[in-house]
Amino acid sequence: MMKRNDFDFSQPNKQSYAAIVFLAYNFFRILVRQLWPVLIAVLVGRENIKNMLIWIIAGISILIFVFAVISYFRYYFYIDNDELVVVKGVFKRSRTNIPFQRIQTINIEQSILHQLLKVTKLEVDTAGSKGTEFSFSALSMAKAEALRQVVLEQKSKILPSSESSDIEELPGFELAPQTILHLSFSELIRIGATQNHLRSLLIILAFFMTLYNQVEDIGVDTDQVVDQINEEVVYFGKIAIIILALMSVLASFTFSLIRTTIRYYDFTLFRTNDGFKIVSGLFTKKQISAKDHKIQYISWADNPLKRLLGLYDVYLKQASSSEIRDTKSISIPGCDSKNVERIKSYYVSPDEWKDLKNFKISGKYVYVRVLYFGILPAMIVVSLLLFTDYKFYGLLTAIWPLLVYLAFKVNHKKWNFAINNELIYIRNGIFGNYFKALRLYKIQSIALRQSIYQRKHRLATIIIYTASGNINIPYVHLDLAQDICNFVLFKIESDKRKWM
Amino acid sequence: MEFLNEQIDVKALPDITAIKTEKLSANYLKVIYITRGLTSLILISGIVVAAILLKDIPVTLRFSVSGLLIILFIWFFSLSSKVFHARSYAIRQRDIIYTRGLLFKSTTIVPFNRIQHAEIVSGPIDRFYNLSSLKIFTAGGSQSDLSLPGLLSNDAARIKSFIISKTAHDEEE
Repeated sequence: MMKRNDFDFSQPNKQSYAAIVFLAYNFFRILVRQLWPVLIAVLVGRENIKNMLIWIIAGISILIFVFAVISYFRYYFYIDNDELVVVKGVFKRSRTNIPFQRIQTINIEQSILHQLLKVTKLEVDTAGSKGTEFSFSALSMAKAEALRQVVLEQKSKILPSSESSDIEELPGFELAPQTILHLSFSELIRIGATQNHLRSLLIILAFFMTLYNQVEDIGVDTDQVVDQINEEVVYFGKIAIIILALMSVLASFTFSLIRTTIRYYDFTLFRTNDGFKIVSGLFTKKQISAKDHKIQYISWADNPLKRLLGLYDVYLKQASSSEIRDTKSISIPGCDSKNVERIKSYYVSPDEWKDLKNFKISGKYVYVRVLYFGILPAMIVVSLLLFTDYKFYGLLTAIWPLLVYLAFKVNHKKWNFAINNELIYIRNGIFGNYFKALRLYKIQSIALRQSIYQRKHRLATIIIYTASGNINIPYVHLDLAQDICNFVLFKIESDKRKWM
Repeated sequence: MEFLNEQIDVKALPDITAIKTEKLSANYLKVIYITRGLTSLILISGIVVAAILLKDIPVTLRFSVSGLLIILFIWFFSLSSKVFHARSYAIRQRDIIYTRGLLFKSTTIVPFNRIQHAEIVSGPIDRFYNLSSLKIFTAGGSQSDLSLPGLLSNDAARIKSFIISKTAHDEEE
């Protein structure tokens, strides 16, 4: 608490000098992203072009540095009444005012570079906006903490009743954080091994696609390379295809493992006296906290691989702006069912699970999904194939709608939702299982949507809007949907608890 | 906090279907005609130009696709009046209800005690007919924000101040 007095935030404050490094790095990154084919041209190009380009790059680098220094000196912030004001811009000056009551979270994050330079990144997030409102790339640790303190304290003064829990670290009241979960290295490997490898494969493919396009852009004759690969595949025949398949399986698996390790290395979940806190990361030590009152709903999920090991991922969905929602929602990998129950019990007490009334969704759901995801795409593919020499493959596409039908048949069987006076509980999934539990008073607004087909059959999709994303309940009988709507509205409008 | 868990008779709750809805201003139909007419016109002329210039694509494919698209946009324009009549709103003591949509009919209900702020917006065509849209923002993100178009500017201002007085009232309670 004393620290706050060391800084005067009513006067314009600058970031730490280390910010210049980050500003330059940012400019540089943007430039490299745009121009990296040129850099490759430098590496493989002819001598005279090479020399010229090196001079140009050197010039640009100096310009970037000058730019970074100027923008550093033209970037400052201060606190004016109940607002955080940030003024920035080299040519075009911009001024951002953020009233304290709109600030949702203030996060402090350190990468390796930050740790070396003894500074920290500070992100300010507000509800309703897109993306992070803004971030300071480098503040001294003490200043960042002080700023956070001041903002949180001022904020709780403005909203004394509802936000009093925001005051942190009141001496004497703080219980020592309890460790709920710590992931050892072997657990990390198990989590990595049970990730969605299909997604990893898609990421790798996407990467190679962009690489291919970019290389083509700078004039490398990709056709020739592709032809050569084609020739070799034809030459080695089936073996080549098998090797390629094995390689992509291995690559996706390795990629999943590496991604998991980088993200969840040394993962620890703490319970503080009014929320959760996680610390994790290999290169960048990330610390995210979720206060109980900011958690909008919780969800937990498995997949076929995880089910073998009895593992779940748990997500604590926090109120935040739409674009950074995924990064701010806390994901807790590798929980066994005991851990899941424990985390759940902090958010919803066992009493509140009682008297849940169960409902199913209509079977018509399956037919419409099969039409949209099975029959229509298959028809498009078949009609396109008719224009080519591969008409025969059109027959193969007929299998697709059948697979889709089976998948959604399973999905429909799993789809289940339940309501009591306090909660909505949802279960669905195709290969895995997804569970969600949402307190009714956390709901922001609600909508009923009906397609023409749904209107004919008196069905409706319920869309529940929360401060942490939408939850849809599809193909509910209209009368039931309206009853649920009336009930939820009654709950929102009569419950005096603050949704945050 | 004490935990109450009383039995609630769902059928006795206020019903969202048992309300009289308000139509949007009649002039708003003209606005829909103008905006839909202009967009279809621009897009159709774009398609015609593309159909003439893109000689690489086989003629049958080119003309069938562009023909289909043109029919689609004419249809889009001809739906104007139906679109208008599908839109209606209602204000209750504690929430605002807005119904819209032809292919997908949706009814959104935003309780006053979840509204972050409200805004009145008015485009050039709107202004010509003295109309405004009322935008209502919640913390539920851009999808849950409600935009109530085609209100007479006076009405829009009145509804806005009513909503704001309601949200302020709720916080005092």
